[in-house]
Parts: sequence; structure tokens; C-alpha cells
Amino acid sequence: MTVPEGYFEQFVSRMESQIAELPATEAPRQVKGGLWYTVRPYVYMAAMFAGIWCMMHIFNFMGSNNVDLSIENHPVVATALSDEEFVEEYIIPDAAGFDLMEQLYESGVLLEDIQESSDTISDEYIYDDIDYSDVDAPTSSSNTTLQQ
Amino acid sequence: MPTDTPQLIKRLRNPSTRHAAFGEMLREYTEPLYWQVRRLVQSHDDANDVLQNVFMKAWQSIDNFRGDAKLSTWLHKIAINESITYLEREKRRQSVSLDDEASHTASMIEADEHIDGDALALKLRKAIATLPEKQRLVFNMRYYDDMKYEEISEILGTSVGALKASYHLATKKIEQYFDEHD
Repeated sequence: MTVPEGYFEQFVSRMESQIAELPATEAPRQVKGGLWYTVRPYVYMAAMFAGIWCMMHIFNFMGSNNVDLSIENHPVVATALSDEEFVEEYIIPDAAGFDLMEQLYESGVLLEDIQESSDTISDEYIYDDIDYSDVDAPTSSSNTTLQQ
Repeated sequence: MPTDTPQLIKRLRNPSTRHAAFGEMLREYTEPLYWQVRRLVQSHDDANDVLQNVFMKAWQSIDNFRGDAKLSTWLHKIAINESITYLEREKRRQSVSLDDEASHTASMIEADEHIDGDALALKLRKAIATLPEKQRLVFNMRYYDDMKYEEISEILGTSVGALKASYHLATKKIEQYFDEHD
């Protein structure tokens, strides 16, 4: 590889004359935001974690003070059930005799127990010789007889 | 390889002495940088254009030169970046595919009027033209510029181990080229 004669000398003088026309001012230095510029990412990260921590605490607080509005603990229902008048008037008359017997049986209450306390229960709800294999399809014409 | 002087760097950083120091730098580094660029772009005219850009870039960014690296390393880095940018631009402009690149470069070498008649040197240049870009750079810097691996590593931002591997592969490929074109 070769170069034209005197090329390097010509190149240097040409570049020098080009550069001579350019100002030798200092290029603007990169502006940095000082301490804040350095710590900013850490502050943002800390703020993010603090936000997450606060949110977790808020959810936890809301969860612990959550009012139980289930039907068993509903204040209106509880007030109504504690009122004897209401129970007698609206609940007891609606209870079907057979459902009551079935519930007692499932709860482990024996017929004998029921008979012993029969004086507090109306006669029409005391049954004898009930065929429990047929509990799924009770009929009004079933051959159960009322017991004294 | 020219030697760096701390005084030269100091005067380059001072606006009042910058013009004179830059002239000194031009006289010292023009020739080695020219050959560096020329071996990459092949043609004298292209090397001339790229070299002008190199010094213009150096002038514009002299304030950003912190002096951590040697002045020669910094200038070589600019020269290589400018050469690669130029080659990429030319490749896009002429729509030369990667497969055609070596043959395109070989034809450029043959068409270059500023070339001596040494057939062996011409053959070597053609062989170098077939190398991938990184291997070509490493081979040129090591073989022609006699640079140390540490210095090449600083310029190219590649580990010394990787550079040694690149150089080894490059020499193998050049040997193969010579065997095939005997």
C-alpha cells in the first residue's frame, strides 16, 4: 500500500487550517443533579417499598375489623331471634312438624327423650312407630298414630 | 508507535493552548492512524475521508477525554469506530451482502491505484479481507501495528483471552487461504 507523495504533510496542514477556524471553547460539562441525582433512585425504591408496606397494613386492618354480616351474626336477625314474640309469631307456626322431628333425630335426640318432655310439646307433634326409612316421602295419609 | 506526553494532554485540555497542541498531535498521530484506517477501508480516498472525521471527532470531544487511557489508545478507538461506521454505511449504500463482502473488498484492493506491486502483500490483504470484522481488526492491530493484546483489549473492549483466540483463528484462516490460492 502506498500514499501519494507528501500526503501526510498536506493532510496535517489541511487539518490545521480547518481546526484553526474552530473555536477552542470548552464543551459544556455534563450537568449532574448533585446529591439528589445520586440518591433519587434509592429514594424512589424506598418510597415504593413504604407504599407496599402501608397497603399491606391497611388491608390487614380492614380484614381484622371487618363486620361479620353473615346471616347467623346479622344484627337485625339476632335482634329478631332474641325477641320471643317474634319467634312465636313468625317462626314456630311455620315449622312443619315433620321437619322438626327430622332435625331432632339428626341431632341425636331420641324419641324417648321427646316423650319425657312431651308435656311441653303439643300432642300433635309427637309421633309413635315412625318408619324412618320413609322419611324422604312423607304423606298426609301415612299410618302414623298420635301418641298420648 | 508515538509516545504520549502528559504535557501534550494538559495543553490539549487547556483552551488557550489547544490549537497548538492539536497541531502537534496531528503531526505525531496522522501516519499511524492513517494506516490503521487504510487497512480497514482499503482505499486511500476512503481512508483520507475517515481520517479527517477522526480528527474532527477528536477535536470536538477533547474535553471528554479524561486522560484515564493513553492518548494513542483514545485516538485508535475513534479511528476504529469511524472506520467501522464508514464500512457499515458503505455496505448499506451499495447493498453488499455478507457473502459478497470479501469479494467486494478484494475487487476494491485490486482497483486501488495506490498499491504497490508486491503480489504477496496483495494476496495477504485479500486473505485478510475474507476474515470476519473482529478477527480482521485484531489481526491488523497485532500484525501490522504490533500492538500489545492489553492495548487492543482497551481499544476494542474485549478480553485478552478472546483476542488471542481471534488472532489464532485469523492466522489459521489466512494460512488456509494461502493453501487454497497457491
